[in-house]
Amino acid sequence: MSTGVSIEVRGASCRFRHVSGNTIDALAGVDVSFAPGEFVCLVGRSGHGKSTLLRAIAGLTPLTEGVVRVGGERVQGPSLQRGMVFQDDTVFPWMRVIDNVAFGLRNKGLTRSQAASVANEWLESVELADFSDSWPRELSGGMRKRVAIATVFATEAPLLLMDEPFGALDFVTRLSLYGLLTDLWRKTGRTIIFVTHDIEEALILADRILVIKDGGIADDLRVSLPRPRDEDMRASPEAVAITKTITRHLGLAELLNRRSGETQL
Amino acid sequence: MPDLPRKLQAPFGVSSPSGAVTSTRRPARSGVALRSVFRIGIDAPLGRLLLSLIGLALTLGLWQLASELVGRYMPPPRAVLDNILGNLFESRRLNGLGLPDGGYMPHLLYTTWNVTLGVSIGVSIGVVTGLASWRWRLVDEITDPIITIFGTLPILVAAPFFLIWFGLVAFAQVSLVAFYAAVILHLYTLRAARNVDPRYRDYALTLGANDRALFRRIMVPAALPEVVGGIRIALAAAWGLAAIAELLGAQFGVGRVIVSLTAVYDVESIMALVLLLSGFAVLMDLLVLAGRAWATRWMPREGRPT
Repeated sequence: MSTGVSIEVRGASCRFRHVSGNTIDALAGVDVSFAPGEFVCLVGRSGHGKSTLLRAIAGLTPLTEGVVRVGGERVQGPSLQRGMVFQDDTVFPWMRVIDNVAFGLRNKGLTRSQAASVANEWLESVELADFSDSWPRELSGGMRKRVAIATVFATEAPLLLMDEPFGALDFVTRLSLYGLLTDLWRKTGRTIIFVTHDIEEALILADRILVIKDGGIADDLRVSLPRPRDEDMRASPEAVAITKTITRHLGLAELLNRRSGETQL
Repeated sequence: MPDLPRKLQAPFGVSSPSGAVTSTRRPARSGVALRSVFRIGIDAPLGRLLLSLIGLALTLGLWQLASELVGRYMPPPRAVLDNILGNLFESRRLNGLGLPDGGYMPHLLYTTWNVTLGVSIGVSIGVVTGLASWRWRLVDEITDPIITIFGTLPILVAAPFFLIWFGLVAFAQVSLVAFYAAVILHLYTLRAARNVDPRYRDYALTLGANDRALFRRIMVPAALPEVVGGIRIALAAAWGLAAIAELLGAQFGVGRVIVSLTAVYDVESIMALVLLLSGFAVLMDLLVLAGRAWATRWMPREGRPT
């Protein structure tokens, strides 16, 4: 079993130049730390910096100012130490399922047969052992996500970054993937940072929820609900209080209660 | 259903006493082939085969008609077929024109070899320069104007230079084909590489891919279907280029034979050679298509290039 890793983000700013010539601060001086083995959800509205923070930790988006340290080492680019599952379907369509899972392992230096053997074990863990020789096009969207999960777990990256990975899936498929992901997380002890705009998803998965607003951290909430978190748990006073806090931060009530006459027909 | 008009009762079937339609099969009619094609469906292999046969029959019919109208300089299909069978491996006609023994075949093989060699060299160069232009902006900036100029150069203007520089030997024809194939493949490869979705690159990088793995396991397979499309285009053009180079000056090859046959107005033999050359070109295209089917076997059927 491998363990997670600590992450330190200090003064992280990320400025983009818009086509209009204006600059946009996607991140504005973020300071935050993550403990080894934590499951943290970043929650916020679209365009407020959740994915930018995640990509900066991954090393895919360079910071304008500040620093990210993972396990004490400064992040300067993408690495096998920081696995990522994307919102889009990124499983390589030209590789069979087994070769997809073995891709990171081969990059790690494992021989073809070693990589295939580890990949097969992980395909069994995500219940796709019978599909190892299939092409990704032959799988459903949920099954392809399981391939992506098996791929990042197989590399033994101590930090896993997930950018709204289940956003495009139906509710039942998502529920089964929550179960799979939390199970793998408990067994492997990795640190997981998971971006979502779905408060319920965050309540099911996270130990800790960071509310991201205007490129900064608006709130840092601990979730101590026992697992597994069924619907009764999600209706508990603690869950309702967290939901209310997040809703207030994101100004969702204002969005819902538009004043009469505000909507132009 | 006695109150309903007859049409609404059971248009293609027989009503049972309860009113349910027991058979919806339209009574089979003996009809023309075209009707059966539409019944089978244009996309079904049998339907496509039938349509191809109809097209072939129409062409042969028009050809026969034209030969009867034009006369001597438009020989009928039968005469051209006899010419092919009679001159493929041994030809008195060609011997009479001072061409070497062996009929049409050695010339066809010579031109086919020049095309294959020229396209292979051109594809190798074009793919490498295309990928280099994608990878290094400096290379792209340097090669872009050169490719633009060469890409617009008319073949009839370029061909004499190759013949003057390299002489009336196979090397001139091969290099002309290679030159054009390289230009086409450079453009196709560059476009294919730029079209590869950047999210695959990001995903591969987070999985520890180095430059070599990125290139070999991401860029090449992702760009391959489009590159094979370029190879098909280059190959289709190559037959014409090789023949033009031979027409302008060569000791051997289909173009050289056509020059000799034109001098004696032997239209029948020219048509026979042109048909044979087309047959070789179609065979080569089928080989490339088989290669592309293999390279795109991972794609959903509806997404594969046609």
